Amino acid sequence: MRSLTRTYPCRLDELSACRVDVETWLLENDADEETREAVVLAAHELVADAVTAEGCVGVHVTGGFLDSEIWLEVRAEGAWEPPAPSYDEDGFGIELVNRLMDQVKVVAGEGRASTRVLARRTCGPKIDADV
Amino acid sequence: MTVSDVEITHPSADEAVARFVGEHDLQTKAATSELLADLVARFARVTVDLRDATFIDSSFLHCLLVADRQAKTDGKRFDLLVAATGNIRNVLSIADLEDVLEIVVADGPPAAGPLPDGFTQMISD
Repeated sequence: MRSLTRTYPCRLDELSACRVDVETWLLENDADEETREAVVLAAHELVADAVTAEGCVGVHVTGGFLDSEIWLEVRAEGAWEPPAPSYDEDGFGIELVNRLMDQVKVVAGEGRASTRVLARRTCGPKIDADV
Repeated sequence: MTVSDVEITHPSADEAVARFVGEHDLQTKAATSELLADLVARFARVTVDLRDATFIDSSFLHCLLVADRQAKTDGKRFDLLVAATGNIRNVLSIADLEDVLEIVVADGPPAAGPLPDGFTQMISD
């Protein structure tokens, strides 16, 4: 299994490139269509949130497979603070990520913040969308 | 947002159909929001046709929710037209919006497929 490592500048026009990179990586690793759609959208939402954060200097995306699970990590320096999940405007994206992935964990850094969001999803159709 | 991304047609004087093509995300949010607000303000019935859309994100969903809320407040109609299968329907489903927004499902393939009853005359060439 090949891993994914990419860094994107803090620009909205990088979002499309991010989606292409993640989908290509998933295709190369034979992920099924539903998994690809979910992970691409989850990565997009996290990167979109990170690139628009104040003081963003770059967003790092890494991904990997562990047995039948996909791990995705989005990391950004600066003032990125993923909003609490909600259907209000700012939290809609992270709410979607929560529904698309099996587990989402936000790890806030100290000082010059380097915030990481870790997301995990089991490959294959998702039986319970309310995880 | 470029002209080729959204096509607006007017089946009648008080109706507008906005056909979104391709990818619509945070980069086009401002334009989408402005467009839908304008259509809802000007027309009694607005249909957003997503059968040719290939990607939407939470910012686009938010635009839909705001426009839908405004339409309901104003006593107007705001519908979505989506393909029966595909990632657009999946996103609406996983966001739990299928019971919030008025969604019309088209059985046929995007663009070339037959329109549901009541929509036959809505989208002009």
